[in-house]
Amino acid sequence: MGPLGKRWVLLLIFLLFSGPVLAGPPEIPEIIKEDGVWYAGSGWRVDLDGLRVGFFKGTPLEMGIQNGLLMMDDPDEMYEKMQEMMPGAGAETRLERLEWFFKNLYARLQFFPAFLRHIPGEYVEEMQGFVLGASRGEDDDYSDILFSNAYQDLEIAACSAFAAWGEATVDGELYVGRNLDHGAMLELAETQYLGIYKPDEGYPFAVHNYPSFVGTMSGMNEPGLTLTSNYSMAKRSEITIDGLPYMLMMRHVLQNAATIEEALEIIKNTPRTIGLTLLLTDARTPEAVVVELTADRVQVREQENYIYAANRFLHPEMIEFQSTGWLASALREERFEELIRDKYWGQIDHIVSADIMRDRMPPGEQPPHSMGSGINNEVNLAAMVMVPARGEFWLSVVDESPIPFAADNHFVGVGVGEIWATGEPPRQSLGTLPATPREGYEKYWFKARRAVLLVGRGELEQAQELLQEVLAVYPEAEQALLLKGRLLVRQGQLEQGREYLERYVQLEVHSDPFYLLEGKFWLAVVYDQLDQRELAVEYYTRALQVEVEDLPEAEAGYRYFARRGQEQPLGLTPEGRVIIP
Amino acid sequence: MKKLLIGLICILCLGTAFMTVQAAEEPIIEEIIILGLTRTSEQMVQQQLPFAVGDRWHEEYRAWTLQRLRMTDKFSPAPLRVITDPLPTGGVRVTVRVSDPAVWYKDPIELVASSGISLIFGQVNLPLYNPGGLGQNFYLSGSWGSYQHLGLRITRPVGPGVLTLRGRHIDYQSPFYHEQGLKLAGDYKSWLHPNWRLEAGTEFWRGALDGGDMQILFPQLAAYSNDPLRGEVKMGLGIPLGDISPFFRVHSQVMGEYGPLIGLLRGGTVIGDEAPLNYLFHTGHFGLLPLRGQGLELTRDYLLTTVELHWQQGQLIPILFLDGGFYRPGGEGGVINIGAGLGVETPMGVIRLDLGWNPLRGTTAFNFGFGHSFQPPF
Repeated sequence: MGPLGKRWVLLLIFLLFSGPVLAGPPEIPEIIKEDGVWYAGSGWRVDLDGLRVGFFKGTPLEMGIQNGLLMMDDPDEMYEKMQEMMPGAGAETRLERLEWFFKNLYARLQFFPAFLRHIPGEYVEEMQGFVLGASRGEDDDYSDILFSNAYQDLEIAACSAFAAWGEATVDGELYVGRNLDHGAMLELAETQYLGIYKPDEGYPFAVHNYPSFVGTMSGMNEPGLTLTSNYSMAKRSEITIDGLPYMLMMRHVLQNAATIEEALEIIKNTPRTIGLTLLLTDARTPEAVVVELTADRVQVREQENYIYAANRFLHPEMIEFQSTGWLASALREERFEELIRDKYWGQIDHIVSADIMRDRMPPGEQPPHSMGSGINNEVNLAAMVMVPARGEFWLSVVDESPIPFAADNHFVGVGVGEIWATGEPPRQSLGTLPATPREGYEKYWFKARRAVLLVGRGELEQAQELLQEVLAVYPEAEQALLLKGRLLVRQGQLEQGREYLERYVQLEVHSDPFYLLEGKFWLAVVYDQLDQRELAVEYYTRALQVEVEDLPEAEAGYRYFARRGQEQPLGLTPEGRVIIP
Repeated sequence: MKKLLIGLICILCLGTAFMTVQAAEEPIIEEIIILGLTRTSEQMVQQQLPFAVGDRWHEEYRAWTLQRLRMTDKFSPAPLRVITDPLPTGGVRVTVRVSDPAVWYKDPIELVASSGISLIFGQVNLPLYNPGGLGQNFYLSGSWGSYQHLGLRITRPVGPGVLTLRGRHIDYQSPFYHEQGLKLAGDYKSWLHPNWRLEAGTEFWRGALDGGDMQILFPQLAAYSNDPLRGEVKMGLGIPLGDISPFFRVHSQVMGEYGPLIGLLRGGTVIGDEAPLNYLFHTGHFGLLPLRGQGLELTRDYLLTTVELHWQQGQLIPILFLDGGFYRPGGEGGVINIGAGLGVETPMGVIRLDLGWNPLRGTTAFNFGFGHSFQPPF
């Protein structure tokens, strides 16, 4: 090779390896505030009646940077919140911490490469952009962001959604109501925002989201589709972590599908991970379907004029793949039927839709003092109503309360259709829907539901006080009686606990059979501790006689223990957990 | 006689009609979706499928597809599934779920465990799973100690099967001979039926055996079955490219289970007096042709059986075993070895320690190994 040839080779090597260096780091735009609007490049952010609204435009990297700059006021605080949500964050002993260290290490070695193999490059770029924006250009390591976009696939959430159109609604237009219910995400509730995207490639879309999320759980797009997700526990053989995190699949659908058929094609051809029920609607036809899926199966449920989804499969071909676990799906489905079909038929608009998502009544609305959850519940961290035909997105505003009860806060309407068209920040919202007055029954409902969550967090004294307040006014509030009884048993006050549980079991009406099963079971356990074996066996038997429609496996949970309890006395740990001696 | 003939014809007609009705009940495959590929081409998976759009779905396709896909060793063990979804039209959608593993390894725990085990046994293995996305797996290997080697194996799915090419440089100091040289081999295998696999290939060995140069071409044919009998038959013709005469080697094994009792019957022979020592069989110890109460021996013909009683207790498996039969030379009068062992189930498979005793010779031997002595051949 002559000297000229060598030079060419050297030049080629230089070009090959110097590309990234010559390209340099991407430019981080300056944040400018003008007339109450924050601008960063082509993106902006505005606060409308307490709701943060962000607009992101351009390439994936550019949109990510804009998002990171505009929606991340305090990256350190956000990072801490994300760390608190990490599995194992609550580990107390050294051994537990060590165990979680290895589990998280394994997750990084096993899950991350698996997720990364399936994530389209454009979303990885957007994640990098987000980290660049949030760190103001100092960092681009997206590993934690990857986790925040994937951990939904490792958790269990609830959620409810419905769509109504045609004869069911006041004007025939399609309305979508949606509650995001996720106990592990409550810390994030106040950081929510409405993100409006105008990507260089694909359709403009709008999503309800939290900082660092590139994927989404709820959104709509310019052609008129909406898509929301509900978890549906699928059998172990039906799930995998080796796929595309579902929030990114949903984002992909919103950005690339214009019709229900196109959306279904994307969903069917995505390597999925877990069980979900997705509400997919098209405002133009109008029509809506519920897509029931696992990692490998997809079935589509259709209905005229209205449809809803809770956290279980209803398609006949999917029911057998439901895993055990109870999330009050039957009760919420029954309420959707009652509210849409019986109470609001022909009257549904965005205001009624918000009311439906605020529902706190048991089926039949009798008795009125159950203090149980309806469609609304204590892990509700976001509530929204979408009117895709008019390009309207109504989102509840969440304050700093650790238990947001989002659907009961005030809703703010945003005209996303106009923003897609102009790219300009709106000067005002479309209006607001007032928050639920916290008085009368509602006041005590909030107390009772807050007590449920506090018990889950181990704050027992506070929970006791709230329940006492509720029972003082509503002595037959079934949920308060049951919880109070269980709480006393957990604290070792067996006789007092028994008394409350007896009162609960002897009520004439029980709003959800699952709780009756639970009440009878705990009463049996109490009788076992009180050495009254005959009564214990009687209540184990009575617990097993309770039919719970939405409890899939006959031999799981309370039923399993009740059967064991029939055979031998069950014990209780000092923490109030049942043990089989 | 005439009545009998008519009766037979009627039975045949009824049988055929019944089978037709049965076939008509099978849904038509309207859609095939291959999910999860990130490197391997979809076409490569399609070639392994024993069905196509428009065919009727038969349940046996599920296991058949999985057998073929597993044989490619190209996909992670999970998720590897074949799912059928009924469609509103009455047809069926078949979803084949696969996952390309990371190029270097399949699972971090597996990597650490398998590397550790390999090192204990004086060897290293480096698999590269379809690194360029063109379909080839590369397996580099090396070992030290009495069996030294450097090897490269390349596999690639071709049609409904897998083509394998391998080359290995060996320096093996066996208790019976010293083998040095290069082995080149190629074979093609395919599950032609859900329960039958055929394999055809040839090996070329060029090297030295106890100092004498040799070149041997060794074409082989093998058949494996997993139902109704679980077993294999493998035969090869040795064609020396030198002075010695050709030889023929055949061996087979059949396995059966009855509750906690597991039995294995093995037989083999080498025909041809001049067959090189490194093409004969080894008996003794654990894992070759197990006679676990005695040491290694070279064997030309054998008929051996192994019976084991497994008493599974959680992850522990206490075992009683009996190895016995005939072999030649050395065991013409019959041989019997008895003993006990303990297996432990681990994520990497079973680890076993056996103590065997040959009551006729009065010898005992400890044997340590991975897997049972009745591992199915595939």
